[in-house]
Amino acid sequence: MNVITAYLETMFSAYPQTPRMLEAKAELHAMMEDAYTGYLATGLSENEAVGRVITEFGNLDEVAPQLGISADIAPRTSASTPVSSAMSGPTATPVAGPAKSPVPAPVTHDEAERYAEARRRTEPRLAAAVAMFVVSPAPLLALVTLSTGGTIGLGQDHAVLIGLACLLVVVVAAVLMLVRRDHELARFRRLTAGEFTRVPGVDRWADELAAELAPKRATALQVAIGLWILAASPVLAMSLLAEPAVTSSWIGVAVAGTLIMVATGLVVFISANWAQSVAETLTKTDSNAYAGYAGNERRSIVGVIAAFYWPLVVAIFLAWSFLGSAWGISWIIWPIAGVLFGALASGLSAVERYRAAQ
Amino acid sequence: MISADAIRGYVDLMVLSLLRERPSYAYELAQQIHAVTGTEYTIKQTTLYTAVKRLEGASLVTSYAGASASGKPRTYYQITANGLEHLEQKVAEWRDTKSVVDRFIEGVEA
Repeated sequence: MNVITAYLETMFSAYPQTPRMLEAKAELHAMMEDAYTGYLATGLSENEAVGRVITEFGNLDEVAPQLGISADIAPRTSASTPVSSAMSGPTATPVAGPAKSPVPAPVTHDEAERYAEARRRTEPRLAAAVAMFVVSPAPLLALVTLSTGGTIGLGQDHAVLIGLACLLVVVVAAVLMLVRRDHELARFRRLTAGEFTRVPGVDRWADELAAELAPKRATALQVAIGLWILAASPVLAMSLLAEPAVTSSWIGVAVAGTLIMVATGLVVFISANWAQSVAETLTKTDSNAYAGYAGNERRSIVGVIAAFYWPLVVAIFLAWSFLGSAWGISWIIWPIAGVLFGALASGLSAVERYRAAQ
Repeated sequence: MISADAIRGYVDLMVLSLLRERPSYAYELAQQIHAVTGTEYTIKQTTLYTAVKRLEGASLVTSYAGASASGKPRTYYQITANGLEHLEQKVAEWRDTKSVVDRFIEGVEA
């Protein structure tokens, strides 16, 4: 009998423990028990009886709509199933009982696979765009300090102009990349917005996908955090080791190096984060999604921080530089922002890991 | 051996016709069906359970808690007036279906 109980537990484990489910399990259990006792009475051995009972169990998935099980997790009218479409008259009414408030359609396995594939394909584009936002002020910084120090024959105004033009071009290119990615992911809007009903099979699939790629993601995160912390080193090395005259004109280049390291870390991390992000999208249906591409990263704190943090840093840098005419000193924002970002990211991912371990 | 697909639409008819005799519980229904069909068709437990729940949802049968001779709790199902009426319709529908299909297979060697 224990084998039968264990079998039934396994079959039902994929479904939520609702009252209707438990009722179904109890009644099927009673049926199987009766059948088992019946087979023993006809002279079958215990093993043979268990085998017969399990063979005659049938398929829970196939009949879930009528069991009222899928009405709990994925309501659909029973008219869409072969069982009742073969019937007519009052029996075609769904068993689910009184209609509940409309529940979004369940996510299908196929849909989930297509979404994961699209994310895998487009994630490098997201990574590149975020990185471009971060490096966008690099030419401006390098040119301004180089021209101030007289290393290149370019007036400061021209340097600012060229640097700003580069910044704008890079930002526009990054925005266009994000828009294009958003367009490609638009058909999965209901998934990213959480407007779907979870399905146990898809949940398990998504978790397995994330688990499979988790070691890769962990390595990527370590590399990225390392880069973010080391990002301060070009600036530190330049300030401490070089001659003061050299430092004042090349410090912008060092800051650009810092930004490139931060951006590289973001590329490494975001590219490796897609499976985790897909799993989070598919296993969470509460619709607290952020707008735009940040929505896809909504569970990845580092991703959210990156999306808001760096544009903010750019804004502060430009405001300070222009309003305070502080081009000579305002670069200091970047190494500070870089180190702060590294610290924030490692701290937050530690919190994330701690929560996950709970 | 009859495929589950072929007979699926008529499981309800089988259950209703058995319940017309007297109230019964799921396992007993399965046994009664087996007694009639023999080796030609074995009903899966999930299929039968599904059928009675569907009929109950459509108010064609009602259920009540009962107990076996040994005191084991059991859910009994009882046909309703609607159920009897529906059974008549389904029987008439089956006769029509059978006669229509028969006209097509006349002369086909099986």
